[in-house]
Amino acid sequence: MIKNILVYLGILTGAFAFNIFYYAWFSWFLLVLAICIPFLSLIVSLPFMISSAANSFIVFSHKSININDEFYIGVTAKKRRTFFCPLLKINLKAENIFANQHDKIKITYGGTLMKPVYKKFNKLSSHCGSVELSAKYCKVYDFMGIFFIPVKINCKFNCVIMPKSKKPALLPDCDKISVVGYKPKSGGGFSDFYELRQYQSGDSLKNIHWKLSSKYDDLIVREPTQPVYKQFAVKIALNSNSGDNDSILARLMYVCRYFNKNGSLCYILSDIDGSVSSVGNDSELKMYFKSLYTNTPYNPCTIDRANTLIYSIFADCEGVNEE
Amino acid sequence: MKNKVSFFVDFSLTAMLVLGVLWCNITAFEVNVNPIVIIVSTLIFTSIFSLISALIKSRTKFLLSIAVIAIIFTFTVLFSLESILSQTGYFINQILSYYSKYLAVPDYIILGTENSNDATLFLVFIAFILCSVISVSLIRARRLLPVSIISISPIIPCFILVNTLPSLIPLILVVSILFSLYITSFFRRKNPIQNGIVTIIITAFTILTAVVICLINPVEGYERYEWQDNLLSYMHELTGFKSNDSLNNNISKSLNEIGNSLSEKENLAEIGPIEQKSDKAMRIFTETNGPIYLKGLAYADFNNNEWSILSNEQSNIFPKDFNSFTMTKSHITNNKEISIITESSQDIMYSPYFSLEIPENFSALGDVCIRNNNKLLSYDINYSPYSESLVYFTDETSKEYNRFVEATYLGLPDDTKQKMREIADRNGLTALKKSEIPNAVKEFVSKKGYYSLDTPKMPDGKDFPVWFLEEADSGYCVHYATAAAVMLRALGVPARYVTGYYANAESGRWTTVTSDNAHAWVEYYDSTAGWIPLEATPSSFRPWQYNNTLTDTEAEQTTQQQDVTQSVTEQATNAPDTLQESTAAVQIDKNENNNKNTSDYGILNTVLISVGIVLAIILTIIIRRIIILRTRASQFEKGRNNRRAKYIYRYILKIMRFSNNPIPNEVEESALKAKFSNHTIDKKELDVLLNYADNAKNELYNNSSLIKRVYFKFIVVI
Repeated sequence: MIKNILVYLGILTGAFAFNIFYYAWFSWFLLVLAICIPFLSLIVSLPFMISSAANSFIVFSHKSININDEFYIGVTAKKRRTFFCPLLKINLKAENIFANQHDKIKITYGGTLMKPVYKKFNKLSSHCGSVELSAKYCKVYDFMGIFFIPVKINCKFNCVIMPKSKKPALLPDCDKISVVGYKPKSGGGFSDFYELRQYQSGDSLKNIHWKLSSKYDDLIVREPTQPVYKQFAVKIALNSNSGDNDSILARLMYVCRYFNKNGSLCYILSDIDGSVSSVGNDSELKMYFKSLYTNTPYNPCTIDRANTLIYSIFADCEGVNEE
Repeated sequence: MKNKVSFFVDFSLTAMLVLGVLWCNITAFEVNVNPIVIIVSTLIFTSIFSLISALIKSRTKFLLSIAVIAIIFTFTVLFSLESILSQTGYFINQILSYYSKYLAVPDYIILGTENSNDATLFLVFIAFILCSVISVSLIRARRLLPVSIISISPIIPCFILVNTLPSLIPLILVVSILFSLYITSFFRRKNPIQNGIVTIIITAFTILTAVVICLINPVEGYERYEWQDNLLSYMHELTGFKSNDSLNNNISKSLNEIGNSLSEKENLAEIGPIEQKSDKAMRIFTETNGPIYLKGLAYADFNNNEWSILSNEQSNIFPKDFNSFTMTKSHITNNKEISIITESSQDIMYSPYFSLEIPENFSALGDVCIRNNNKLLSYDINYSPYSESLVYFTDETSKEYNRFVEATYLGLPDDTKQKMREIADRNGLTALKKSEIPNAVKEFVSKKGYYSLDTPKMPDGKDFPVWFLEEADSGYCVHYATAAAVMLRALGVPARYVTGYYANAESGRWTTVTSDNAHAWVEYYDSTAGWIPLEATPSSFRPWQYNNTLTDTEAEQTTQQQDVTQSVTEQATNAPDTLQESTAAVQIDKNENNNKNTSDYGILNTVLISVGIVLAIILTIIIRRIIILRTRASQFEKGRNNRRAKYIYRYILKIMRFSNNPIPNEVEESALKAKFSNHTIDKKELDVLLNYADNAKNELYNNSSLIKRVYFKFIVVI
């Protein structure tokens, strides 16, 4: 590690300067000891470094966590054998493409690796998205952190950062969803709504409205129908600011759950390509977020755009409009 | 306490470190203490602070506990303030008693009203402070820097002078513990639970290494390498740096510079019969007839049958602005002038006794010799002619120089001193008054054996002066001068061995001085008269002298020729000069090997200096980067939002200079608003700017090559 090398060089320079300016034996002793120190550290560490390098390591993390939750990355030995590692350093590349966040994570650890060691990196869970962590090599250092053995680990894993549901200031009113018409209920059966019409060949005799037929002297059939409601689709206005996006997704989560709770599907309208995804429960919602983060379509469906109310979620407000 | 082993290791290291530091001071300055009290109190303090540091997790409770202990301790100190003050005074006076011998510091201070000759309480007080800081830093904060500072600071006084080296055991212990803590510092921070075992192993290895180093090159056998002195003088030359003690630095530096051309040491064990070669050394012109001493080098140390000139340590304590070459005056003001023309360019000047002034282009190097700065071939000196019958005095007495002389020119190995005193006892020299000793010693030594240049080499394993006085049948100037100088020292008279030329000058004529005139004699120090030459070689000694004197005209011509030669010499590189003065008295040896070595050291010096410069540049770049990053972080995080936005925007512009991406309108608008309107930038807008800056930076780094990345990181500091 550069810092350790610089610190050591500083000490060596100090010892050297002391040796030049101080004439007695001690300055020589100090200089020789300062020169010997890294090699001493290497001699003590080398067996442990070699055994650590031979064992190799596994790096892992959560599959999914909520935003601003504690983000842990675990390191453990590949072969679950007791061994001591003087100093392990892993440089991980962390990328959250959805939040446009690129970080370099350094994991340093020294000691035994019988159990997994967890390191906290809360910065990675500061924005919603899919955090991809990857590392090709790790380095096993001596105690002083000057000499090292590179170890190939080739690890790559993802962690989905889910938003935390947040109630929006304006909620779509499910009760006031208006009925724009009725349509025959497929398969018939019981219904609260009926349509009356003249008998047509093939109609079931059970559906004949006898009282009305006797009054009009014509066969009137009572056909069960179901109402056609005006639909809600949620449109999210994502932008380049990851903070804004976090807020939008938090409210989207709330609205989706709200719709699902009220027994209806939540249609989410993409503002990029206009595709629609339907979400019916929490697991689907989770899947939707995953696909949103990776920019892949999820559960595509079509909606009657003419009868759809667009509930838009912006960074700082919400609004309902006819499409 | 999660791990008892780690706790006990840290506890032990703290106690050993504190005791080691205290013992370094105790042994270096010979301070009287009660060791049991110090050890017990250190263990108690360490236990208290270690337990508090390890067991109390709450920060408030911890600080409260420390405060309570501090208050109790303060009251205890206040109740025994008088004792502590007097013991502090005693401790400081012990240090000053060493320092005042060599440095311009008072030799005594008064603290408190009591007289104390023990510093136990004071050191217990120091132990309390050390234990508290080291325990808390090591066990709680797990930081090495405070431990290093607090441990190294108290032992710095031991290294101000070279002769106050502490006892080796505590010193090695302290150094080894500090180095082992340094090696394990990273591990300590990352894994305090498993740190104990690691620290034990590393400490054991470090102590073992330190002991091996001590055994390989023990203190007694230590000799400073030549390259160290060369490097020091080279650095002085390169940097033009002069410390406050510039004169002393000049002495060391100049001695180092001309060291290769001088015989810094006179190895008496190697000298045997000598042949006279009669090589011309110089021509002298005086107004008086008779013998004249031309002094070259004065030797200070006698050790292992070897005379050596002032060491660097000794020259470092030479009193400032003191000129020992002109300190002595004669009652009779009968000043004379001597002209000297040397056969070859010399690094030093050969001067008669009691010079009135040192000519231009020459400078005194302590009291060792006078340096010939421009390697002149001819020079004139005004002086008071020396005669044993005349009375001399010094109006330039310096207490500091007297102290220097006492410290430097009385030194003898214990064995030699004891044997010489036994000889002196047997010959009735010890019962004499101090003023009678020089002449008595002269009489005694000059009567030993007979003068002969064929005197054989001393048998191995003998003490040269003792061998000469007790066993040798004959001797020449070196033998007589050494025996007399050592005898004088053994009898408490500061004396030294001097080499140069002893010539018989003829008034008004040029006299040739040859290598046969090379001579060694003794100088003894009289605090009222300065350095007085003493001729211990018997009167049968007569320097060989050429009679082929030159006329004035011839001499003038020679001078002109020499001047031409001199200018050529000055332009040329320092070609080796081979003065074949085979006498053991003056060995001016400029051989090719020395010059070769010097050039090798020159390359080494250049390499080391270059490495040093590169390291300094790297250090500067890193420090600059840290300062810029901290300033930037402070500008981004503190102050009004508009101001912060402006700084962030400026930073974005800096990044954009190296990136081809356009700045988004949103960012630009926010920055412009912050800069030119009354609009107050809110947190959201600030976040936009910050995020953009962060992303732009990452993008720039990701899209750049390694070299560019380094350039952006360390030079541009993005």
